[in-house]
Amino acid sequence: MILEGLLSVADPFIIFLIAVGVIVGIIFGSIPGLTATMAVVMFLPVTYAMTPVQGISMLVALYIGGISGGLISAILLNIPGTPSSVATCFDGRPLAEKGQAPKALGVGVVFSFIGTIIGVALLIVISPMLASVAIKFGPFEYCALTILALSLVITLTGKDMVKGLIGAVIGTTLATVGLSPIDSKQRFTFDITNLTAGFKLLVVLIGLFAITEVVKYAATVRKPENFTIEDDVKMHGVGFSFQEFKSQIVNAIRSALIGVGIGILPGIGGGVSCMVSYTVAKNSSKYPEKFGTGIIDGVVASETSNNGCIGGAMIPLLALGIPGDAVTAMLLGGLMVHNVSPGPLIFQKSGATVYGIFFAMIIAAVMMLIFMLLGMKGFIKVLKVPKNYLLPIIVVLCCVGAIGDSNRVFDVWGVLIFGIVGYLLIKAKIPTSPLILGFILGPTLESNLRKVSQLISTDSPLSHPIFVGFMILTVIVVILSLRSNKKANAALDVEE
Amino acid sequence: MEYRKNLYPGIILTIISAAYLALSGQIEIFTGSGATPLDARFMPRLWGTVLLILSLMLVVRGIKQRKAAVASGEIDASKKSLIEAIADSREVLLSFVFLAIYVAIMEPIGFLISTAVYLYAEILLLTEKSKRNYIIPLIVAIIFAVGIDFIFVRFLNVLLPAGIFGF
Repeated sequence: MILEGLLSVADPFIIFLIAVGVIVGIIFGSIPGLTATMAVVMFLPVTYAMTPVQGISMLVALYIGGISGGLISAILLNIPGTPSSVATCFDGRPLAEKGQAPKALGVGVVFSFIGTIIGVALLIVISPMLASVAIKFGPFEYCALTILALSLVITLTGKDMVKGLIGAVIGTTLATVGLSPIDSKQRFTFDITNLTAGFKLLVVLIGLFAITEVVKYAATVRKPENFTIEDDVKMHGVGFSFQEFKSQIVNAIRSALIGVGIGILPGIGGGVSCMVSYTVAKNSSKYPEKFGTGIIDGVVASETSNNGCIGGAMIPLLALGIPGDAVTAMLLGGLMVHNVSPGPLIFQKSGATVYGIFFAMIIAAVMMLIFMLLGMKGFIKVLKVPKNYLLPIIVVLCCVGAIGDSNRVFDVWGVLIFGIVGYLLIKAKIPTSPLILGFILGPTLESNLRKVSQLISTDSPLSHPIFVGFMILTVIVVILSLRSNKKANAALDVEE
Repeated sequence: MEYRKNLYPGIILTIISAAYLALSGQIEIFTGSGATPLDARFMPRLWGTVLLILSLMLVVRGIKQRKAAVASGEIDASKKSLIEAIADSREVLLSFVFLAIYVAIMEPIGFLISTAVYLYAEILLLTEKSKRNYIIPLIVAIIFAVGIDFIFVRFLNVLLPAGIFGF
């Protein structure tokens, strides 16, 4: 199976697709306001006609490129190209100001690569193990697992628990439109045939995460941001010495592990992991006072961990079918388009494809390293691409993606509606990641809960240790977050 | 004006969740053999109730904040008229309107023409007035409309609406 996977990606066409994916991903990652999620949406329709391995290889390449590209603008513009590179600004920018931009970029690129590789290695080890445990899951275990995942995403995504919950419940209610699980009754379809299958995940994602970005830009048309880009950055090799590399090994491994761990948790991803790793690196450093003044330790911590997150986020996606954030939800959409259904059976049903994806990720990481070291000048130039031209084209491609999924224009109306909904939610400060997770997990919860309601007369839930374990964990998560929520509110009251 | 971010969404969501709960009564229930004790209405009712409670919590929070804002007298100073507010975010509203028109005309007149028109309009909308140029966006719009249509229909097997002109 592993060999089959390797053979399936050892095809010049796939290598070419990965290369295109990485380059486009880096560009999307580096331009502030364009995200890895948008890159994946844009290219989804391109993959419809491809084989699963071809299509998904390209999508993961976009993902890896997208997360890595963010460091360019974080260092050169002091604006993170993606939220994942927020902490890269802290030390990357001061380094650039000291005239050491090539060094900062080189460190960022090399450690992004190392982070990706560590993440993928753990993905390859952990996901089959997790799948083999999850294969024994029945309705009880799935019920508890979805409740745990939902409570995690709500508590982790924001400070405001009520709004986090609202986001998740809006998602679950949206998912009730269409036929009910188990007995296939029409719900909230208003006799519209197109609604019978419910809203499509892809349509919701495009509306919430792509259209809203365009509209957010539209809101700033009359408030243009002025920034200058230093484009005379000369890269010599990797820009730093072997001595410096050696001094960062511990930091890199620790940060990558933090990244993988945070990636596994639903709802939070690169943005949180880079901040956490940065703080941890600072606190465990012998010279914490130097952080923020332009030392490579900060860049290493941030960039290793956000790339480590990629592998981490893929673990629950592949083994359990639970995506952690918008990009992985998009990948879930991509996998489903290609008839690969993530979950515990994925290694049996589509083992070759999964190992193909693993190899594609490694190839993409290597290509990211090479392209970013050799082509940095080009990527810096692309930062100047006018967004007023780029964004409308992205909207059109999103529409094509929505139409192409099931060949009906009806879905583009859905994109428009979810674009409006997404914009209103942003305005109301209701987070959208719990919404997506609620949308995906709601139906899983419902069908399993209803099966449980049937089983419970003959089967005691207490005879399912995994179920009990998950429920206890959920209670702990809820109690801990309620406590921290209380503390945060108390702190606010004191300030007032 | 923090209260607006709680009060208004709270009111809207209260109405939506109440309507959703009311509509959930129309769901048919399967009662034959093998029916699950929790029927097809159960989850919608649960979600609807939870959403209703949460929305009311937002409303209460919003009202409290509004009271505090009124008491401290900061409410009148920042009051904007509706027209001003609309004018202020006209690019956002127009972006949605353009997209709606685009989707509406796509099937009757075809993907190619509607895309070119949409791209041209939206590019101009997203360009600051002082920097507007009417020729380049037109060329870009036409090239990309033709290019996207050609690539997707010919090479990627995506069926795009052809419209009355047949292209």
